Amino acid sequence: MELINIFFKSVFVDNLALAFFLGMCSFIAVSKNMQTARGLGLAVILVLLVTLPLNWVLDRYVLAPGALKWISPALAGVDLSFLTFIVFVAVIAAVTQVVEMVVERFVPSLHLSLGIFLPLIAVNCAILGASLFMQERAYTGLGEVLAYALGSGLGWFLAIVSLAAIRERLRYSDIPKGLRGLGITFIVVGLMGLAFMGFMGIKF
Amino acid sequence: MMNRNGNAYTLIYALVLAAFVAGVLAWVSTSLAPRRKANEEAAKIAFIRAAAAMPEATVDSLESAGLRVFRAMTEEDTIFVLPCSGSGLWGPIWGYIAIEPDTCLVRGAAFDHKSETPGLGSRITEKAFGSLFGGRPFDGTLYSVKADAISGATETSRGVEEMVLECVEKYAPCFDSTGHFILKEEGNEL
Amino acid sequence: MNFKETIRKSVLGSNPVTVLVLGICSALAVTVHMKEALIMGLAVTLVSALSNLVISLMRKTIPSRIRIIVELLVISFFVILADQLLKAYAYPESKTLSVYVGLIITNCIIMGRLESCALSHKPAEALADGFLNGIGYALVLIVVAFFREFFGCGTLFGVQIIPQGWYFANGGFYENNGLFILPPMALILIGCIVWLQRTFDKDLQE
Repeated sequence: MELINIFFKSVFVDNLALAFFLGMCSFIAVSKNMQTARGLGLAVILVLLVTLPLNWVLDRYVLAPGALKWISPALAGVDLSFLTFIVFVAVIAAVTQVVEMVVERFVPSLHLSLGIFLPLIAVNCAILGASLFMQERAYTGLGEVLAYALGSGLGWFLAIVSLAAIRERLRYSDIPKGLRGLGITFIVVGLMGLAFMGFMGIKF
Repeated sequence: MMNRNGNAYTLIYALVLAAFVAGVLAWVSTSLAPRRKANEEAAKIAFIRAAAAMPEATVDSLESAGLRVFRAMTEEDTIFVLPCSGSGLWGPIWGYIAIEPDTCLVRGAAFDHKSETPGLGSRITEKAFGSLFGGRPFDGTLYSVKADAISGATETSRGVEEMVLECVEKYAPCFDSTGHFILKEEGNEL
Repeated sequence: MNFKETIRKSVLGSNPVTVLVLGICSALAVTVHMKEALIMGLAVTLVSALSNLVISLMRKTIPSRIRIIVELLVISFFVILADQLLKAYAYPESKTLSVYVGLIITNCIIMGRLESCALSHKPAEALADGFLNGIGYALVLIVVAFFREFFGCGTLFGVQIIPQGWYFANGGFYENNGLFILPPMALILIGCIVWLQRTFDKDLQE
């Protein structure tokens, strides 16, 4: 049950994009049409599913204060937590680079349309944010971490896909010239975020 | 010059750079550790004093019912300060709750955090937030301020609420049946 | 190139937030008060200028396959180093910086500039580009923070602007607007800024 709760909570209540507003840059820039939005959403799910368990293991067995105990008791006093950011970010960057290579090799059309934003997943704060949330919430096992990774990835995917759908419809609307495109998108995301605040009171 | 895209070059480059970065950071971190520790200790004492609203007090640490308690003393006044810790949105949060030994009312509280959002969650360090707890009884109603005590920082406020209630529960054995604070062991210099 | 023209172009014409859509997350998180917005703007300007310079100096040696990791290592190395040094020698200041560390490292403006400028330009140009983009970012942050702090808290830089007597609580007629504190309002404000900018700069319209 716990796993199911973590999953649904991270999809809706703790939605990375619309409740915490993480990963906004690519969220807004890559949601112009459905196809690229879907591609980036999938990439985020993929990167989250790989990086979160990796970072969890690293945090638990290398970085946390006293985590090196398993090598030798003499290392119990070692605290490497000042390296947390750099290690998390390096893991994310490495995984992203691998994903970029894989996409470039097997789905070149997607690679073209994602352009600059695939490397930018590396600094997509949704990914680092998810790693930090995971560390903070002290999940007790890989199962929970995976449920969290899948849930938050899926939440981000759903958010960007719905925004892309809205934007495709907006294209045919008679919006004031200056507001067309980026301007109205910001406002739409703001309104979507306000709607998601409704989930905040729900306790799991 | 070696091929810039060759495997060997890439691998060596990555290793050297990572070793350099980790080495420098580790060296800086360990060589500065004593200074950092001293600063952290000083900040801790300052926080305990702020919670007790006694800027001049001497602070020592002692035990009550097996739990760590701080004592802030001046010539005319003694206050017990209970530490608590929990988690906010991005990282750990912690705080100190000051209790009047006779009435067992909360005199004040001070909170700190590692990395809450600047301007939102980070506002728990403000004096105004800590003083919301002043004059309240130290029981389950201590956090009756609304969950959006700091508007916009829902998650951090929720973290503080959980932390405060946990602290109340944890330190319950330190009070006797008449609601007085029990002190079992003498204090050590902090 | 004309110096004035370059500045106008990087700060407004290709403003990282309102035109390139970079650095939005932090623009939402730290714009509740002007003070935080200003610190964040300055920190990002500094880090972006410096890391642009360093990456530009290293650009001929970086293997292209691991360039992202290299760039991130350089950025986070600077930020963590500064944080550690401040913790030892200027503790109160370090409290201020510590909370920004993650926000600076993952700020995609810095990464975006490294990718599209530093990797292919000479050090001097890269330094200027990083600096100007930082300024453009800081500018948007401060404008958004102005509205959010003024309407949300009635203060500017922490100084009370709306007279206390105006508030309902003191028998007045005014109430701070809580909506401005919430992150969605920052999005809506940025949307309005984009609208304004595009009304005057027709080239940017879609």
